[in-house]
Amino acid sequence: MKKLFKIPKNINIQVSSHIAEFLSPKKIFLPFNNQNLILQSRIVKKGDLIIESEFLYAPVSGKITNVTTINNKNYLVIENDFKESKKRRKKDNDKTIVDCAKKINIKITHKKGNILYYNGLFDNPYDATNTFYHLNFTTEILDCLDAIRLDLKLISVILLLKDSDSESIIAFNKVLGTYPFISIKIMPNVYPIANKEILKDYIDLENNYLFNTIEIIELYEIMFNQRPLSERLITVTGNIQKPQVIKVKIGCSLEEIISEYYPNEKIENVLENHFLGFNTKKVQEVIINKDTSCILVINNNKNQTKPCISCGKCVEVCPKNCNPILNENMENCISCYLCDFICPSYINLGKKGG
Amino acid sequence: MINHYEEPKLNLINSIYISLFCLILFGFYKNGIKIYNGNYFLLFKPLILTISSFLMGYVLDKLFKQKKKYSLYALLISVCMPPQISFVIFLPSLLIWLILNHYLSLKINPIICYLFLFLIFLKPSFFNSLEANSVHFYGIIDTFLGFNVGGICITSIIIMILSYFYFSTKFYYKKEIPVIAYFTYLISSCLFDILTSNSNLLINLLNSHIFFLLIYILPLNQYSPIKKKNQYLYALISGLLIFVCTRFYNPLIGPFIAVFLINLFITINKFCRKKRNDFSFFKKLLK
Repeated sequence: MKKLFKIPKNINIQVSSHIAEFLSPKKIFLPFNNQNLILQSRIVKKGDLIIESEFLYAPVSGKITNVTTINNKNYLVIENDFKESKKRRKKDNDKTIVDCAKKINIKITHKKGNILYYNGLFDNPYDATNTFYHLNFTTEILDCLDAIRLDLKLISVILLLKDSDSESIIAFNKVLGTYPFISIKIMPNVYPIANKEILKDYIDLENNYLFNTIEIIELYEIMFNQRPLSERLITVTGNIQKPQVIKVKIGCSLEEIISEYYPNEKIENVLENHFLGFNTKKVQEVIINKDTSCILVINNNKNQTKPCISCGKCVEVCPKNCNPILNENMENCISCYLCDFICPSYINLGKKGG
Repeated sequence: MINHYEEPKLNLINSIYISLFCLILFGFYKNGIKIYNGNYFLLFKPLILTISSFLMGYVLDKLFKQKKKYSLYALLISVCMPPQISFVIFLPSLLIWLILNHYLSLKINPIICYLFLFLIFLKPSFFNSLEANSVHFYGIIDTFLGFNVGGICITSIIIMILSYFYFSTKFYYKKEIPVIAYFTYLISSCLFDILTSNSNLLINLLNSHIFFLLIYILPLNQYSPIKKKNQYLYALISGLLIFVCTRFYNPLIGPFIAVFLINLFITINKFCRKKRNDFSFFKKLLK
C-alpha cells in the first residue's frame, strides 16, 4: 500500500453551522441524453409541462423553455411554475432495494461478502456537506443502511468515517444503539482515501458492497418517499465572506445561487468538488448535479506556469503510480490532482488524466 | 487558500545560495586571507571571482528573462575553479558558454559540461599560490575542515555535509542521490583498497570535489531522473563512475569527468526515449 499524503487545511475558513435553503430557483437545467429520448420514442418539445415521467424526473414543476449546451452537455431549461407540491404524486412502495436502485441508475450486483460499507469519507477538507448530512440525516442514513442490509441479507454494516470528522462520529454514536448490526470504522485522515480506488487498499471491496452518502440519501428518497432525489446539500466556501452549506434543487445554476447569497461579491472562478489543481470553471458554467458537493471559490490565480524542473514529485505523490510527465500509467489516473498540488512549476498535470 | 503546496520558509535555490555563501567565505579565508602577501588582488580573488560570475549570471538572467537560472549556474561553476585561475580566460569563456547554452538550449547539464571542457582542455593545477611554492601535508582533520587542495571555494567538506542536511529538509531536493552515490563510492573504494592493500583509504574518501558534485550537482532536478528507481540507479552508476575516474585517472579532475559521463548518458537516454516515442507515433500513423 502506497503511503498517502496528508494535506493541511486553511484553518481560517470555517463553514457556518446553519444550513441555508435555496429551493425555489427560477430555472432548472435538466441534463438529457439524446439517445435516451430516441429509445423511449418520445420527443420533448418546447412548452411541454414536465414534472415526472418514465425517462425524465424534474426537481421542480414547470415548462420546457429552451434546450441549451453548457460544457458540451445538453440541458433542458425548465422554467419553474412553483406548483411542484400539487403535482408530485406518490407511487406504491417498490419491492426490493435492487428495484429501487435500478430506478436511480445505481447498479447493485450480487457479491460474495456479507458486509455493507458506508463511505462517509470526504477528501476535500473544505467540504462540510458530508458532515452536515451525517448531523441532520443521521437516522435516515442508518434506516436506509439497515433496510439495504435486510434486503441483501447481509450480516453487518460498517460506517467508514475519518478520524478528523469527530462531529459525524459523535452524531452516529448517539443513535447506533438502536442498530445492533451497524458499527463504525475510523479511517486515517489522508488524501485521497475517499476514492474507491484507494479505499480498495484498506477494505475488501471486491466481495463487499459500498455506498456513498449521496447514494444512500438517494436510495432513502426512493425507498421511503417514493421519489428520486430533487434536492441536495452543497458547501459554498473558499475566498468568500460567509462560507456555508446550502440546500439546493438539483439542476439549478450556480450563478443563481451566488446572486442570491453573495450579491456583493465578485466571484469568477470556482473549483467544483475537488480543491486541488487548476481546473477552475467559470460560475456560469456550473450546474448543480447529483454529485456536486462543494463549490470552492478561487480568486487567486496569480501563479504562472513555468517549465518543468523534473523534480519528480508528481510521480512520487501519485497514489496510483502514474507518471504525468512521461504519460505513463495514465489509464490508472483517478483525477485526485495531487500532481497539480505538488508541482513547483504550477503545471496543470492533472488534466492529462482527468 | 491551500490549493497548492507552497514550501515553507526558503526554497531550494535560496538554500543553495546560503550554502554557497558559507563556502565562498571559507574559500576567501583559505585562498585569500591565509595566503595574503601584501597583494590585495590575491587577497580578494575568491570574492571577486565568485561575485563577478554571479553578477554576469544575474545580468544574463535579466536579459533572457530567467529567474535565478544563470546566476546560480555561474556561481556553481565559479566556486569550482582552480585558485590560480586567470580571469582573462575564465570570465569570457563563461559568458560565451552561458549565452551559447541559452541559444542552443542544450539538454545536457551546462555546469558539469563547462567544468568538464575547462578541466580537460586546460588541465589546471588546484594548488593555491602558497601550496604551489611550498611543501604541504594536510591531515585528516585538515582535509575534513577544508584545508586541502581543491577548487577555490569547494574545499570545506564539513560545510558541504552540513549543507546536505539543510537541503534534505527541502521538499524538492533529491536527497537519496548523494547518499547512495557516496556509499557506492565508499564500498567500491574499500573493496579496492583491501584487495590492493592501499593505506590511503581515508584520504581518498575525503575528496572535497566528490562531496561537492554529489551534494550540489548530481541531485540538480532538471538533469537527474524523475522516477525513484531511476534515481537510485543513477546514483549507483555515478558512485561507480566516480570511483573509476578518481582512482584510475585523477582524484581532482576525475569526479568531474565521471559526473559529466553520467549526465551525458542521461541526456542520450532522454533523446533516445523521445525519438522512440516519435517513431511509435509514425508507426501508429502508418497503421
